[in-house]
Amino acid sequence: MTARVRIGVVATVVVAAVVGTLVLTGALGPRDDSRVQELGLGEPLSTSRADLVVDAFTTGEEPGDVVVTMTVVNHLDESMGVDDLAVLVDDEGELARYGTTTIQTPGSTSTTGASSAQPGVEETFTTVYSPSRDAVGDVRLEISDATWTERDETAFGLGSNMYDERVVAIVRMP
Amino acid sequence: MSRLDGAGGAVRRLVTRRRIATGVVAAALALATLLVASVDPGPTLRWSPFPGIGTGSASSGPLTVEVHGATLASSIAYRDDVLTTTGTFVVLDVTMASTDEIDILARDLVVDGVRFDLSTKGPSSWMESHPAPGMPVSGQIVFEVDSALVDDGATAWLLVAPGFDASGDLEAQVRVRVDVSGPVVERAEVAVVSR
Repeated sequence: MTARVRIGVVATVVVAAVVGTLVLTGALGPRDDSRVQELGLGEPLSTSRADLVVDAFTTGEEPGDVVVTMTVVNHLDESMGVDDLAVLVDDEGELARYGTTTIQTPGSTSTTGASSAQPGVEETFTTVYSPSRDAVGDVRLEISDATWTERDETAFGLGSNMYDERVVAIVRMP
Repeated sequence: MSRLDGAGGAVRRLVTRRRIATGVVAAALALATLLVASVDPGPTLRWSPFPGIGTGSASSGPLTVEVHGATLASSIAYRDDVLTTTGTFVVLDVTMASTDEIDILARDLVVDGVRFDLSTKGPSSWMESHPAPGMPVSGQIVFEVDSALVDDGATAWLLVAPGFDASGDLEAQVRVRVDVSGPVVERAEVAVVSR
């Protein structure tokens, strides 16, 4: 076997290995280009992390403020911040990611600051967003789901667990 | 001729040795890959590797946590307010003491593998009532949990984590086992944790 033939064989094996890896990992599979579903107020959505319903979506008392009321049941085995579930966007992109979240329980005389959805406990959260810029065009709430990718914390010590997050639905402000 | 044969033999032996070495390295890497893949993610970042564990009370390092009792309730009364839940409140009567200055970061309740943050519906002064050396704090902390996990009784773990010190090392952590059982009372009066 000459050197050229040997190089050719090695190159073929390498290319086959790369292609095989791409095929086996699904990287060459069809892309998921399905449109993100659009929900109306009161329409329920079930994600891998939580069941949720956007009950209200309106402007706030202060100019530019946006108020979102959302009922959430957390399916994870740990408490989850409701900030992780949705982001306020407009035609120029992200409008606000975090707001001031409260809950009002029936019979209570006051609101309670709370942004943590407890596992298996239904709670209605009201978040007041105060964007740092004026909204442009349509204001939407982008609801995301995420897959928890667990990494080996023991071997590498620094804890590289992470969420692979994606938008699964939008709700337009009426 | 024999000299050429000898040289060719030496080259073949060298090539063979290199191939064997390459194979050994590849096998070692494959074995190491399998070993790393088989290691379960450890709890080292969330829990101290040597927590103080006990039933009803536990100590670790400077920290001692006692749980005097647990009450299940469908609502809590705190000051002049009544707060409800679609789940069940677990109200723990606790005393916490420390022999050193500590900065408490986490107070979680684990029931059947599900981890609950402290409910913000309960008194929040716990946050401001860290035990000073020699001055324990007592009162009630409130968790809001899935009714299905506790209404028929359950074993729960209260986790108190002082977190990391300035050098990045884990400080002692305490895990207290608490048997939680009914009945679920309609309302529990909650007293703030204080000195």
